[in-house]
Amino acid sequence: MYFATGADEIRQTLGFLLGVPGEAPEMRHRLGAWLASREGADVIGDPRHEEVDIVDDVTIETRLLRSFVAAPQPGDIAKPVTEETCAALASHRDAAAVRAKQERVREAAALLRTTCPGLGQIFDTVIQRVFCVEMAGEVGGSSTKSVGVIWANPTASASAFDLAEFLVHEHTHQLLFLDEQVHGFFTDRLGAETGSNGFMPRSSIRGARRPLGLVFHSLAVALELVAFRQLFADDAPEPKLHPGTDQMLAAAQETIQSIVFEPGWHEQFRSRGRFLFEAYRELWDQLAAKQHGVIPALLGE
Amino acid sequence: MFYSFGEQYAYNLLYTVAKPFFTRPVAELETADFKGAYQKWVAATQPALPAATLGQPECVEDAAREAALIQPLVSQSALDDRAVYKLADFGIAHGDRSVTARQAAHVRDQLAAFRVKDASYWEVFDLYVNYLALPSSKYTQGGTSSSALGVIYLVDPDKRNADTLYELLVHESTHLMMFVDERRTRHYRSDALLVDPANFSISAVYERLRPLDKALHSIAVAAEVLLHREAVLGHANESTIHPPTAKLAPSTLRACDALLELQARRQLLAPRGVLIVETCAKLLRDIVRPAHSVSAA
Repeated sequence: MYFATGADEIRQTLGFLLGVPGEAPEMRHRLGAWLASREGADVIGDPRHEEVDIVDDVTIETRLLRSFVAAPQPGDIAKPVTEETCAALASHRDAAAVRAKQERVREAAALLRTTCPGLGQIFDTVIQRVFCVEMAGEVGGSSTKSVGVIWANPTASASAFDLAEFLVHEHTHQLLFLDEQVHGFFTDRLGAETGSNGFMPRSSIRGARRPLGLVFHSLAVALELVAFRQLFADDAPEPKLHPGTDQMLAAAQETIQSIVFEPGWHEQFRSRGRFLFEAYRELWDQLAAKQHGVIPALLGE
Repeated sequence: MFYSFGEQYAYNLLYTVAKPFFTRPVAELETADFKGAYQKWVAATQPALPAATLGQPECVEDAAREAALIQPLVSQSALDDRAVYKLADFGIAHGDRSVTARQAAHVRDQLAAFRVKDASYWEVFDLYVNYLALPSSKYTQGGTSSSALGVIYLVDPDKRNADTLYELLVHESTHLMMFVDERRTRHYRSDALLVDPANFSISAVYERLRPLDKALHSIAVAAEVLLHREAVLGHANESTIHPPTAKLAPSTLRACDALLELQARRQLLAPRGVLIVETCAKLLRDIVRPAHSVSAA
């Protein structure tokens, strides 16, 4: 959301959530306390940390991983996390390997902050904890049951740039979770989550038809990643975790088209969802026009 | 505008704008006279464009001519609402001319097939279109510019199915006819007011708030596409460039209603602009209204 709406809009949402003005001080601490009251103090930890807490404790890691136990969704790629996975974590944990991954996440967070300080401030306001649990075929993620927490499992080949992108990716999900909590995005929340209403646009990153809520997240993630990547200008390393910029922009364009080509598409959105969708359409225009090999004047309707 | 205003309108419009360049009496005019006069009028109106002389649209293969035709796309306009137009960071690749030649041959073949389907329309198309330029550009299938009368830009036309290319050419030729129409009779009361976001209206295809001229063009284009489907292509065709009729027809009508609502409050359109919207709306209501519907009264 940061690149689509700007930091002030995000602070406003957090202010609505917490019942304080958007510019109130100690927003990280207030949000941490609010999240802890709903998700559990054992999930959020000590909200008085000044920036994200990289967890190094197998008990806490197990507790946090438990928030990722969920029924599979249409289009899921990874195997679902189960109670058995969580129970076996302590016996399989390679402390040295996990610590090395934690260090790489720390470097990535630092890179995020130096690349885009404004985004870094919002990241450090919202993200309370990152934990590293190793699991084959899984790079980590976010869960609606532990908003404020990111699970990271950096692959061996992922650079600091890739991991910074991963943090932007997960941070975007988390901001959308909170924003939807405040405003509501969809007229049929269950339909948007499950596809039960038959409205299934094409997902930007996965390239499959998925429920609108998931597609909306993937559109936002793809465009936030491209916007972040464009800050590096020509210095961005070759991405290994996410697709290339052209691929993400083309997929996002396809997603937008697959939404607006459906009869009655605007009836799927509540006011805030439509506002964000329009913000992402605008962001797509701006990002696409900056790409090499584009004639901007041909991008119009 | 061929189906919304009629075949005769298309010839009348050309005759009106290019009148000084006709050399024979009206009663003796043939298609070639219209084409020649139109080309001379375009050359006089936009002298920076390469002068067209062929009797049919030229699929441009020559790199220098292509570059000259792309030049107008780089120029900026106060009416361009989106940041995209402000960023002139181009990197357009035209390296392999054999690709351009292959695309040009493909377009020529497709045009020959299209002409069989609807001879009257494609005769008008051949009049209004002087060049089909084939630049390389990401995230687009083509376009037109008011700074390049008679020019359609097509991107990777050989990667589109026939129905998509058909609708794309209908779409772009409608923009070209609108540009000419506006040169004959203004569409807006004040160009300066078009850039005020308070005067934006909803577009027909993507349903976005756009400046009035973009919204008006989108209505004319969407209506024309729907009327071509009604008359020639069928509503179940395989085009991927526009939404299905079940979505496009109501969204175009909504765009008409929104623009007329705005007009009722702010009087931004000139009479010709109003007529275009009202004509499109009337024709589209006939498409969306079931043939057997009966008034309850």
